[in-house]
Amino acid sequence: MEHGTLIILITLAVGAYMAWNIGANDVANAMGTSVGSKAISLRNAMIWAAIANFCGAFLIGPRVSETIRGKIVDPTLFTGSDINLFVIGMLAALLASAIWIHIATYLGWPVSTSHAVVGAVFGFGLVVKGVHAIHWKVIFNIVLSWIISPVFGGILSALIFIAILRLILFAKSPILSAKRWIPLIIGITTAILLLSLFYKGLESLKLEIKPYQTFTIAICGAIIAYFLGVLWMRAIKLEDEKSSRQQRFKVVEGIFARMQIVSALYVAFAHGANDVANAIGPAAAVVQVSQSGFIDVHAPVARWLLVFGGLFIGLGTCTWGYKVIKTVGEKITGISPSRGFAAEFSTATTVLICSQLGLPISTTHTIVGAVVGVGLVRGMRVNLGVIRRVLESWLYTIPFSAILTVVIYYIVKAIIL
Amino acid sequence: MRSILKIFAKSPLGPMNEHMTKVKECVDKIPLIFDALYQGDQDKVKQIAKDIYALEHEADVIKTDIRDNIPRNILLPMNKRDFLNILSTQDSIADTAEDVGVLLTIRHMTVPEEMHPLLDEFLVSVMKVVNLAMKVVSQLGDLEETAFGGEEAREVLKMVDELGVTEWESDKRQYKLSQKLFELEGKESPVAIFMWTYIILALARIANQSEKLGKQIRGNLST
Repeated sequence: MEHGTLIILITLAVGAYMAWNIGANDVANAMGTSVGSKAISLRNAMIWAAIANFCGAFLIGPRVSETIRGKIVDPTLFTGSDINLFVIGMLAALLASAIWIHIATYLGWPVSTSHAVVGAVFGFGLVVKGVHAIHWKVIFNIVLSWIISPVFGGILSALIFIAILRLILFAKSPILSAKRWIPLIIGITTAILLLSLFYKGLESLKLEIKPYQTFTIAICGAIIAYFLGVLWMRAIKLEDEKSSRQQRFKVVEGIFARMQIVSALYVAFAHGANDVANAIGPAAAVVQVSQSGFIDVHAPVARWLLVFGGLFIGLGTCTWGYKVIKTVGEKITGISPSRGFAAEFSTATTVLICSQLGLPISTTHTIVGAVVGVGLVRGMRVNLGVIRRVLESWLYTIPFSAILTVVIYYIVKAIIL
Repeated sequence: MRSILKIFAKSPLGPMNEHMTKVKECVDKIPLIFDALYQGDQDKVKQIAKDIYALEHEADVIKTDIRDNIPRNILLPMNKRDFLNILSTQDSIADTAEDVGVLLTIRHMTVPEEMHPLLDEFLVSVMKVVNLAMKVVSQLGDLEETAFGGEEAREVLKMVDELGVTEWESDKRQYKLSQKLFELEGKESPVAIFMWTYIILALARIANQSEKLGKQIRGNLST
């Protein structure tokens, strides 16, 4: 394939743009609230978010990338000279998603890069190779995960917040209860975090972890986190206990504002794990085929591609994301740190589990689900119109990116072949 | 990205407190207008009535603004109808305060000597009810924080109970004052007695409406 190098370069350029875009726009979802509550400075938020995103992309990223690369459309149908069609198709999918995301960002629509990429690859497979080329079971699972992830995120965040309410905020002396229960909350959340992180092993580091090992890690981590929490709580003075209720709530929310930094990083990590695939998935297919000349579904996603994707996501956060983080931080006043913590923690857990299962879902939609979940426990003002907009964004993202992919596919094919 | 911001609706509690403060300013004029009346300073009575009128209008503006800015599909921490009812009850307190001002100015009123002590007692008790009701409303922010449950809700519940007792006490004072008023039959002009009946009823209405505020908030507590 004489155009091989050129195609790889174009692919990388578009992939870099996508990754940049993902880093620039979505990371703010995670860090904005913590910056808003002044728990962390803008500069530190940006740096840490970029690092967490990169780690997520590198460590867990391959799973979703593999889904997008070889599990939506059956690559084995592309044999002989058809290999070129596969490469062009993947490139077209990447281009179409990038264009759509660019338009949507410009117009301020809540579209998901995951939906765009899945729609694009799906459209290309359907038009080029027909109904049989699509792995309908995978598509079914993905669509199901799109519905389940916001709902699950919502239920989980509601449960966490109810626990916080009953244990701490309902108490006669909220600070005293916080001192007692927060170490336990920290311990349990650490266990969940470690479980969702390790239960499938870390492919990129060639680290296989057996279930019992995962449990051991989770339990040890939880115990360590618990004692760190106990130490932290010792530093919280009780003297405010005599002050007005309002003042005491402020102290408790201050504690949650700090915990929110961790939950926000967790979101950034999970986000990197899931969304890097949107930029790297199609690129991985193009690179693999162009380099080897045949389609190998089982070849691992090139590590340098993951680093590449992770770096551009980080770059997006640092070059543009900080602006978005700042706006979000200034505008979100409707969510208290305790509620923010519940929403973020459940979002990150949901997204990370889906990433481990190789399901490309939308982080933004999961956050919306989690926020609504906390809002349903009362004490928060949620604009339900957003749910409608999220559903609308599904309806137009998938057909649009699918059709655009097909158009680009035929244009590129006409030029190259 | 900008879209996710829209999920967080602005709290209507800020403007609600602003409205409450305005209503409180209206009601706080009531002891002043009676002081002026005791002193027989008609100009001052008229001036204070005018002040109440102006404050009531300001409260109305805030109320309309809150009503207009609550979107249809918003999930508030409390029942939206209850929220609007609380707002309208608050507003009716300001309206009634205005009525008192009007009643004291449409006719040249003087306070019969015999009514003085009982009227004072009644006024104090009405103001006590109003102040307590305002304190309950000011808890809405903390109630939001605790999702209307727990210890905070129990504390508000106690305050609402206390509010009921205070209102009952002011009812007793109203009864005594009215009795005294009708003992003046033949001594005071019938028109004066007629006017005083209305004034006493208006003051009692302020206490009643304040108690109603407490009940409306109570309905939203989850204890």
